Formats: sequence, C-alpha cells, structure tokens
Amino acid sequence: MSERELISKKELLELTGISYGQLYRWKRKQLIPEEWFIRKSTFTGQETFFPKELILPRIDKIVNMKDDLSLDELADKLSPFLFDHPLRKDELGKRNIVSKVVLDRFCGSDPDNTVYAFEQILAYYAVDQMLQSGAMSLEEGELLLMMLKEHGAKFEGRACELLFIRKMGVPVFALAASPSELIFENGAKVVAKVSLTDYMEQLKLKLT
Amino acid sequence: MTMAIPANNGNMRLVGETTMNGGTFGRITIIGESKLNGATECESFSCTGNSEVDGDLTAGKLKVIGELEIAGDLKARSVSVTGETRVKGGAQGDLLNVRGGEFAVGADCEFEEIKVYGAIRAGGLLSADRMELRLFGGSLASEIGGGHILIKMSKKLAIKKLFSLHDFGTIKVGTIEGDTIELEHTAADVVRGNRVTIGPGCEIGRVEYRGELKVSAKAKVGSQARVE
Repeated sequence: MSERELISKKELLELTGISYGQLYRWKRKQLIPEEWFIRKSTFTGQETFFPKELILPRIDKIVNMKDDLSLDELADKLSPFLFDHPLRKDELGKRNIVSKVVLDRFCGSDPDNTVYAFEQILAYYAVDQMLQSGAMSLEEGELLLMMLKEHGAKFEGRACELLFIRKMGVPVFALAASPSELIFENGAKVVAKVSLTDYMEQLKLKLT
Repeated sequence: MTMAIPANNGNMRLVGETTMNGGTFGRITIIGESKLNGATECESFSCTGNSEVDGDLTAGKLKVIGELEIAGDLKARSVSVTGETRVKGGAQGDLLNVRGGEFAVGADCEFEEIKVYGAIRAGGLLSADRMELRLFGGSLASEIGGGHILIKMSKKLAIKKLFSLHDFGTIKVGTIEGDTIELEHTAADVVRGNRVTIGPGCEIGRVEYRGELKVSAKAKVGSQARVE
C-alpha cells in the first residue's frame, strides 16, 4: 500500500488523549493489529508510526465502546469476521477486487482515499459478482447493496446465503441462514442462489 | 486472556528421563528430564527438573523449577518460574512471575502483569500494564511499553555492588514508553513517558516527558525535552 498518511505515536496520543498504557494494553488484546505498528528511524531514535486513516477510527471505536464492553468482548466485536482488512477505495479498483463500473456507480461520490471495512467491501464485491454473472441489472444492484448494508451484519460469523428471486419481472433479494430449505410458489423464479460465505472466502484470498 | 483449552482430558505424569508426544492434557507433571514432541495444550504444566517442548505450549498455569525450553510460542494465564526459561517464539498471558533465574523470549513478551527477580531478555517488545523488574544484570529488550514500569537493581546485586568499584547496568533497552516510569541502573536510547524518574546508574540517550521528570545526580541523560 503506497503513500499512506502516517501519524507518529506521539501525535496520536496527543490527538486522542489516550495514554501509553492504554495503547499497549489494546495492542496486547489485539484490538490494534500488529501490522499497523510501523517502526521507523528518526533523528530522535526509533519511533512508531500508524496509518492515520485506519488508526483514528479504530481508537475512536475502542474509546466509545470500552465502557460498555470488556476488552475481550471488544476484541471480538472489532473483527466480526475474525478477519478485518480495511482497504482504500482506489486500492479496490487498482487490484481489480471490485470493478470500476460498480465503484463509479455506487460509491462515485466517496473520495479515493475513503477506507472501507471488510463488510462494506464484501457488499460491493457481492454486487460486482452478481453483475458479472449477468443475472442482475445495475438498478437491481442498488437494491442488493442497500439490503447488504442494512442487514448484512445480522449474519455476523454465520454461514449465509444470498437469494435473488424474480416474479413477473419484479426483483426480490433475500438473505437466509444456511443450510435452509426454501420453497417458492410456481410463478417465482430463483435467478441466483449464492453463498455469501464463499464470497467472503474468495474476498479474503484476494485481499491478502 | 481468552484461551480455549478443552476440558476433561487425562492427566500425565512423567518421572525420570522421558520423551513423549505433545497433545491435549489436563495436568502435566514432570519430575526429572522430559521432552515433549509437538504442540502441547494443558490446564496446568508443572515441572521440576528439565523439560523441553518441541512446539507451542498453551497452559492455564505454568510452574517450573529448573529449566524449560519451548521451541514455539508460549501462551499461559499465569506463569511462575524459578530457573532458566527459554522461549524461541513469543510469550503471552496474564501474569508472569520470574522468582529467580532468567526468562528469555525470542520475540514479544506480553503479559498484563510482569514481576521479575533475576533477568529477562526479550528479542522484541516487553509489554505489561504493571511491570516490576528487579534485576541482576544481563537483561535485554528491544522495546518496553506499558502503564507502570519500574526497573531496579535486585537487593543481592546491590550488596555485590558495595564491594566493586564500577557501576553495573542491569538492563539494556532501545525504547521505553509508559505512563509512569521509574528506572535505576538502566541503559536506554529513548525514554518517553508521562511521569518519569531516572534514578542512579542510568544511561539514557534522550528523555521525552509530558508531566514531570526527576533525574538523579548519579544518572547520565543525553538530552531531555518536555512534550506538550
């Protein structure tokens, strides 16, 4: 990842008002991933830097949630898929994870350096895959994206299937915990039935 | 810390000179000299004598009197060791208590609380919320970080020092960062903290502090700066 804006540990503590002790405690509890600690030599000795766009929202989240949850619970919350790999928008396009068509259409207004969480990337990825299969139109993609954004988190950590049904040309999307058996009336046509869990696995491979 | 150790496993007792395969156990008791091949998980691991784990060791409770060598990582809720412990990988857990001897970790050593009477060596970061090191000398860490950090010379070494002319350092560290830092006989490149006390026998390259700084007349500090 190139040209990421870095923030030094000193500036971070000053900006967020947290202490060294807290920072090291959160690191021990793996609330802050090891990869975010970037060591560099400066004229005052070695210093640690963090990717600014990743660390600031993370610290914000921890500070806001730590009163209600224990640190261990928090550790589970922060990486719901046991995997957290936020990525910048321009990286998504450059690495061909999500096609340009989808990016332009659904998040054209976000600046290039917007960072998306894994769940968000997954939503875009699912839309992209469905579009490429030819079963779904761009307008319908919008519906799918809205649903994934709204309800995707409900299946956190569970196997889940995405259903695309059409009846008399009217598109309907559904998320179902798998394995589940669904039977539809005769007029309804199941256009696509894909496993979101598979998408998740594919995406993980592409991101790392 | 959270650890998943399957319950209701058989206990293992090794007496004399033995070699066993690793696996999942309830209690492991070793008296004598033993080698465990492969990753080992257990509720408690107690060893009097020498033992070697050729893989990762995950234990609820780890108690060693004598020598222990771990080829992989160590994960344990509470660790209490007297003697020599060498961990090639990293060490993680809640409480580390070194009652005497040396505790050496190849990578990072991260516990909620660390108490050491003896020596500690960490190839990477040594990190704890509360850290109390009373050292004989020969200790080493590339970084120390945490809430409260206290480093002193052990009483035994203090008596030895009475009869010798030169001052011995007890620990060499690259960077020390913490909220409250109290150091004696410590050599470090950089110390950063909120409240910092640099005691006698310290050699510090640079001190950066936020709240207050006390420097002993018997300490050497290259440069100091208050950070707002």
